[in-house]
Amino acid sequence: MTQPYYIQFVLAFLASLGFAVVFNCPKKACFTSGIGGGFAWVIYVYIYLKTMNEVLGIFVASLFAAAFSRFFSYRHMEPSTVFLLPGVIPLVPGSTMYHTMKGILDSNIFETFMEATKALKVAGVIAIAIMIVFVLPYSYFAIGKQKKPRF
Amino acid sequence: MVEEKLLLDFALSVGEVMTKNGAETQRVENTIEIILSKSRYNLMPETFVTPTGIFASINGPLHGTITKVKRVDRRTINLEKVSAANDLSRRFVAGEVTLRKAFEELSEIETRPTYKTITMVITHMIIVFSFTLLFSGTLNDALISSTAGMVLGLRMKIFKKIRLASFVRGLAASMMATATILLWYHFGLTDNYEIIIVGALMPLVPGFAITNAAKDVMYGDFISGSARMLDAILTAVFIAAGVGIMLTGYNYLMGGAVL
Repeated sequence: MTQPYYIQFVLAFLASLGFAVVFNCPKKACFTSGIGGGFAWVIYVYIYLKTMNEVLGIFVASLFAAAFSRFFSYRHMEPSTVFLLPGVIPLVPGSTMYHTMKGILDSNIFETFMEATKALKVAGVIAIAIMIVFVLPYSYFAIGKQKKPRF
Repeated sequence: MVEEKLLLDFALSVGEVMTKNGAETQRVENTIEIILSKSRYNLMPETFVTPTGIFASINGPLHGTITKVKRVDRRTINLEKVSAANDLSRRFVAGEVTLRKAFEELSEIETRPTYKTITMVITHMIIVFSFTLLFSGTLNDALISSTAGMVLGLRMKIFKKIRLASFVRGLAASMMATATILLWYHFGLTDNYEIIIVGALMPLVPGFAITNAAKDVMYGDFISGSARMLDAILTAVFIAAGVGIMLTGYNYLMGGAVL
């Protein structure tokens, strides 16, 4: 998280693009979902560095990723998961999971508890952000013109 | 009457393809109901979809109630197939394809090839490389972790042939990745194995299960939602356990003072 933002954007873009390929997203959608993932990560890092509140950063970034996915699912006529998943995955608490396990191994109850709580908080916040965006009516995201379906 | 039965068959097959490849419950239920509404009669379709099985019943004027159940196992994540099946159902309802043509197209979608192993390996390497850099590792760390990514990419090829529960797969994969990293650590090529392990774990984290669980719970499909949540929690625990087993084993072999 110490690199300049544009480098982080590129790295997060590459990672999200990779996830889009691993999950076999439709080929035309891969690039777009990579862009979404890059922006979501940059938003998270920006808010985290400004406020030093990791959960808030994850929340706003997940809100962005969910809104992005709904907007582009309308434009490209694809299921929204195609765009949502690669955008959200960089935010999933992988490192907290590792540190929870490390705490258990070292019998460090304090670290275990702290990291486990953080992992649950982050996962819950991602879920809540997705729910908030997906509760909104579809028409809110039907902006601009729709691309022609492939057939 | 034959036509209605075929329609039910088709609807359930589409639903099976979508569930198998990771669509949300609500999308599958909608698709099945829309396909069944294509009939001349009002069939009053009712569906109930869970991640492990699909139930659908129709109630036509010429015959009594027909109910069909389809068990879904061997779930993977392949969003292209979900998208294609969704598209097919839309075109079928719009009357652009006949039922026979739609069946053919569905079996084509089901057997559609995925990416080659080499693509998967390179993709995993790129993912792990970028994440290690994002978690403020050095270039050296990123290069080392991309070898673990190579192992993770190759695992998909190996696990395709062996039938294992998905948790055991996660356990084995995280053990393999950790072992690769500890090997480099052992030969003194890196010092901060922690960041590298965290980066290498990212392709395994249950992000898909978390997002889908959130969506399912939100649409009111509590059974699918809680099933997926359980999946997410178990996957996370097993991945962490894999790393823990490897680290403890290494520690034990090296006399207990290394990590």
